[in-house]
Amino acid sequence: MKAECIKEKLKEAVFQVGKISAKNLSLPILESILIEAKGSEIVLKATNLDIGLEVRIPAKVEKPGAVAVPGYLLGGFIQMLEGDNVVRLEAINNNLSVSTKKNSTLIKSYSADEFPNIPRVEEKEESLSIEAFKIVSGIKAVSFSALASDIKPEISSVYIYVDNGKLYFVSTDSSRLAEKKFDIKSESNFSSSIIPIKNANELVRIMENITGDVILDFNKNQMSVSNPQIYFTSRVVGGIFPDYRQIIPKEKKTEVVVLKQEMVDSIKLSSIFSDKFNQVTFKIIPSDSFFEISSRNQDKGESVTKIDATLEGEDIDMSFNSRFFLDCLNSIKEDSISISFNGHQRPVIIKGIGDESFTYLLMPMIK
Amino acid sequence: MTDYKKIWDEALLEIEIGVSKANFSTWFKNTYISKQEEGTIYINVPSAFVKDWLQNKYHKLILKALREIIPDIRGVEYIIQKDPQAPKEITLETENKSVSAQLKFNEPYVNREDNLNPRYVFDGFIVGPFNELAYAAAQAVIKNPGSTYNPLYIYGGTGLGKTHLIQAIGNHIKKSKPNSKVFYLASERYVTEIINSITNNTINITKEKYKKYDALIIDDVQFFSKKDKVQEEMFHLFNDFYNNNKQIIFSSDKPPKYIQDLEERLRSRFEGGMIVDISKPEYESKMAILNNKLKALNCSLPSEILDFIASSVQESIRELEGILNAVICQSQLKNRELTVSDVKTLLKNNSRQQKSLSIKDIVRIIAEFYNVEEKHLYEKTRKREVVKPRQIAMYILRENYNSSYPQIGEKLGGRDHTTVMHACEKIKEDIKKSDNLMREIDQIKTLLFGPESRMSSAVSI
Repeated sequence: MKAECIKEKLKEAVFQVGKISAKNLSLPILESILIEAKGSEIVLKATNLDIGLEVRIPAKVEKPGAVAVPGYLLGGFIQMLEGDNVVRLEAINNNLSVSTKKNSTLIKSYSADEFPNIPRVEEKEESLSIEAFKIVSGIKAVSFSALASDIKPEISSVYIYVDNGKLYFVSTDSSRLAEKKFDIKSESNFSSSIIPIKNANELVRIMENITGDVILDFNKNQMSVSNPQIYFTSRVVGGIFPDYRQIIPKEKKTEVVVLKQEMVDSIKLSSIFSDKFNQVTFKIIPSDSFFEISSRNQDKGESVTKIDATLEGEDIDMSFNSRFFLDCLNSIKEDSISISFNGHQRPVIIKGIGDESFTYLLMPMIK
Repeated sequence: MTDYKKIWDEALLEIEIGVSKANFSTWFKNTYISKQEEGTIYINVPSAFVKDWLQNKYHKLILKALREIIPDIRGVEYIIQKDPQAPKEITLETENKSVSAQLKFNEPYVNREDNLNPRYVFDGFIVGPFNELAYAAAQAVIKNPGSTYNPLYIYGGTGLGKTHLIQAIGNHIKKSKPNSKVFYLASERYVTEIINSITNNTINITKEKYKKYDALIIDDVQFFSKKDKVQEEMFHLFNDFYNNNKQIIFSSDKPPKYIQDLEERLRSRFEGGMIVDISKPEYESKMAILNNKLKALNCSLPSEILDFIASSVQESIRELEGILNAVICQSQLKNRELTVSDVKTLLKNNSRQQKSLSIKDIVRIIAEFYNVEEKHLYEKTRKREVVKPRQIAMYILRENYNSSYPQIGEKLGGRDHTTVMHACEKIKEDIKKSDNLMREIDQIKTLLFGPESRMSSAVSI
């Protein structure tokens, strides 16, 4: 292998794929990045056997070939590499030589044959073309709600599906649920898929700086997101995501409209004095225009905050996990939010005023 | 049966020699032989990565190792099998429960892919004279889906177990033929979907969506009444299913003949397979249902209470279960066994009051229906437009209220009992001749007793 490329592009690509090639004691080859030169490009590949990633950068290839370089070595080295704009990569006896005008380095490498293939989505059953930012913001808006432990893989995930011309992202840990939806322009045969939460977060990191459309491909085992420069693939979760639409309450008994910032400040303040379960209590009496958030901790003390809000409907006296409540407010961009209660110890719905695209469903706590 | 595990373990021993330890543990973990067909061994692997790697790197090695055990192996195929039966860590779950007072969503129970509620199975289904025909038909359908009775059309009043039966068929087909796609939906959902897809211009997608299923179960088809476009779509879907020998099951609260404004071609298709009814359960069946329910709830009640509930609840199984729950709840609340008189008061509060109508009300409703003045029905006029409603009033009073002929005659303007007898006979005869009249009477009965009772009375005609 012999090739030349722009240093900045290489640096960026190594940074991208380097995150995937994590430490793996049982199979050291998985720590490496495969550098493949062919045609007029260099392809960098990395995988942890759960996710696979390929990044392409333009290059002047003199001799095609491939070599697998330990990711942390290459990453650390290229960060520090100063000066010249053009980098020369060359495989010498299965080791990688990197040289610029000022510096020349030899990195001990693995044979490229050892490096696993990154599987393509075979027998594409479903595919969808969509702007990259929608994937990023869709996953970001809901991923905090996913179950952290992997006891139930089907909800330790982001559920993606298309219904009636809209693309939905949903996560739940069965105490709360976040849903974000976007319009999609093209018709598609895509129906649904469940992506493990870890891989979804990785996808967000990789796609964050991408503009334009990407293509999502799915079959029952695997999904991929790609554009001409990047190919990302992940396994998908078998099993069935719960039919969550059933649990979204259809009516509301009490509605509160309040400034988001005021809500954030008050809950944060109360949470200082909440118990170890982060419990804060909402007391609402619409007929008296009364809304207060209180908390009490046996060791630290207690706190009560009054809140200005538009109130309507029945009285409320319910407790919530303050962290769960605050989480969703990051996904709401609007100034004010609506909180709809649906009776005692029933889930509440939180939305931004004027934004139908995001819905958050939260179960209260037992006091 | 061949012991695949033993074969694979032996092969793995052989393979282990040929690869490094790290490679062996990474690539051969969670693999096993799933089947052998005509000289080909199928190996289940956990992911696409592993599949690719085994295929490209170790295929020869695997083939060689397997050939040493089974000489006539010609090929090896790899299948991705997701989520191999990983042992679930239950400990963590219980730990979570004890630390937090956080409430959880009610578990949504329905399976999204096929909409079936896994709770509905034949195990909990009580068969009695009231539903044995329907049950037998259901069993026949399970044995040969798509061929024996297609479509299967089950009708009966509300809360008698139609939904339970048809969902149980779906669940059973799903279990016995894991590859077949079953789909259950309420007719109302189909209607909304069709309407949405018409507005969004995605009708073809919706069509295709349903065509991919192997068995379709549609609940409460009486709601297709008056929805022409939906009926048309249903017609095409039905033909597609029928021609491909795919099972369709319908349920409704009345036979196809009595569904108003149903296109003829669809009606005849509904009638083309097997039509069975579920009637009201008789005493023994009700007792069996109560006992079964108690067993499921893990409670017991004295037999005289059960006897009382079974004999006093007439209408539906749903009502029966409702009352039973109420009784159990009350006794837990009061922390003692209830007496029959306790249950009596409870029943009075809980059960639906029989709608009581006076003769005057009935006459008024019938007069309104035919758009004639109420008082004419009591008078001696013999105009045709008055005579018919008057005769129908007599007929309904006789058939549904069991009033005596002289009584009816007296209430309707002091007529002779023979006049009443003649009227009833005449209407009875006319119904046989005219579908229109039958429909009119049906509609009147709906006005009088509500939609549920129309079914049972329609059958009695």
